[in-house]
Amino acid sequence: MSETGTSTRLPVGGSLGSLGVRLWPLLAPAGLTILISLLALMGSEVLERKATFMLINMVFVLGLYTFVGNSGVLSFGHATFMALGAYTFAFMTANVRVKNTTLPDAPGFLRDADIATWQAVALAAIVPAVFALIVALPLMRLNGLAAGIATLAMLFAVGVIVSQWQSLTGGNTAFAAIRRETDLYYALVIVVVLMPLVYLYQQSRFGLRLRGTREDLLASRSLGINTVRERTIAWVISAAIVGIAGAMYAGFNGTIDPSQFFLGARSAGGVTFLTIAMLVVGGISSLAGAVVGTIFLSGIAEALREVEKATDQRHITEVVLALILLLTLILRPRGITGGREIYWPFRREQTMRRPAAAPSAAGTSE
Amino acid sequence: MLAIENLVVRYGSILALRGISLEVNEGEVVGVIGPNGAGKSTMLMASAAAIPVAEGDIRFEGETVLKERPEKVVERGISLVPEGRHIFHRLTVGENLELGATTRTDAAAVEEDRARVFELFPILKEYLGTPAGKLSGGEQQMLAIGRALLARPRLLMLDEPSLGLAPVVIDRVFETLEQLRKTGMTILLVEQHAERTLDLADRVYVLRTGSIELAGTPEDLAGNPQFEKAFLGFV
Repeated sequence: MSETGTSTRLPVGGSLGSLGVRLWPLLAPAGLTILISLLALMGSEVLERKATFMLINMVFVLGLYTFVGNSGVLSFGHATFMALGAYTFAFMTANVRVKNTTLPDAPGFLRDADIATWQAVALAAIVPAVFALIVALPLMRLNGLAAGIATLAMLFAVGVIVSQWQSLTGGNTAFAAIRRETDLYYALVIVVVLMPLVYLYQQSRFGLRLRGTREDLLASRSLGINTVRERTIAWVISAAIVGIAGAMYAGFNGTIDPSQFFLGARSAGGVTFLTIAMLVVGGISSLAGAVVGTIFLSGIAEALREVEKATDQRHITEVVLALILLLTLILRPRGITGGREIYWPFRREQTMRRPAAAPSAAGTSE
Repeated sequence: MLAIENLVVRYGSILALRGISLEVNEGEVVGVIGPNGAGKSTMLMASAAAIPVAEGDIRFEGETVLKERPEKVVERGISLVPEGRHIFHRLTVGENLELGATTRTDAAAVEEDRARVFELFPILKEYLGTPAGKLSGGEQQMLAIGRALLARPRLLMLDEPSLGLAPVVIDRVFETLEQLRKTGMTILLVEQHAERTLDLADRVYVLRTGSIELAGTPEDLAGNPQFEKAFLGFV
């Protein structure tokens, strides 16, 4: 532990080496992600697509972590933001002729929109963020189970609207001819930009306050922390990030339809279940958990898909993922990382441990 | 400084406080003692604007705190150390202290206050990077008090700081309160430990089933047979 003692916070000075040590909780997961992506690049095209898909899921989980990890409030509704981001990106980039044919009743500015990819990605962050800000007014006041159920209600409500608003979204028919620009490089650049932002938020005083409310609501209130405000900030940032995941997904697949985002007979839990499983298995309350969980479950899911293909059995993946989630909850409820960040392993004094010579007088209580 | 007037608090159909009045003057240490369920914590929570009040008023420096948002009450200078300490277990000691200064914008003065807290509790400085949950109960209580002090309160309210602590550790906590009193801090202390509260406080109120039964200086109360029978006999 350093003299200032704020060893888990961002550094204010020191050499490049100590900067690296301080930033290790960010550098370790980022390095791991980059390493795996580069390995995939050396493999087949199939592997490259699998890695790209993993990075899209990682962006979703990073967004989910920003809210769920720091606030301790579970959300089942984040796929809503992904859908909003994906549809925004689709409207902004899909082939104009195709849009005019398949969606003749949609507003003209949407049918004729054809903007640069990066602008469409930015819009895919802004639209869900604005939506999140509006629904935050009632949602962020809720705690525990009520909050989880309310986010699920949001998912269902928006799901019904998207799938039934035939003239705007095309309903359950696929929205096709979306600009396909998501490849491994593109996805990696987005991850490498977003991960430090997520870490920065977590380490900022806003993130710290939100983690305070996660630990103890009464104490944070008695210190003057405004729980609703801090949650709203994280909720909106989180929605923007997950919206970007939606844009990446739309640009990866080329076509989207409501069943890819919302719960229903065809989707069997889909992205909502998968991303929550990733975060929980990795460890809900740390950035390391979000990243490790995504990589771990992506690897397992892709391997299982190969098994499905080979044996011609469908839904093996969902069953095994559910089992892994269940086992994690029973055996290691705080996830693979224990909900802790990855610290520099070679430092002389461990911050996580008590100093050896504990003065005795205060140590005899309870 | 703090004036509670005819305060009535209800939890559903239960009357937790039946119209109590109490006053804390600047620089004073006021103790409130009474058995479990007497309404002591309720009174503190109401003063921190953390629970709704049915009737009566609570004024701090002349102005009501009712209908104030909890964070505004902290800004106005009232800090509560809640019963059971309520430290942030998985955050480090340093982060716990940082959150104590949530409502402050004067970074330089916060740094001074931090130094003062470390003078009061040197142990906290040693454990800055340690998760607060790993501290012992007594250390956690010191952290809770130190954290509250970082809001730079003018009135410090403590809810049963001795709860669940070993006698030696309770001694330490009360020594600290004594030190704080010497700095001129105004303190409202709620305790079940009658004897220690009498030793520390300038004035004491006795709360029982939602009403104030007795009030006076420790000397008055110590000579009161009713009080001796009810409290000192059992301590």
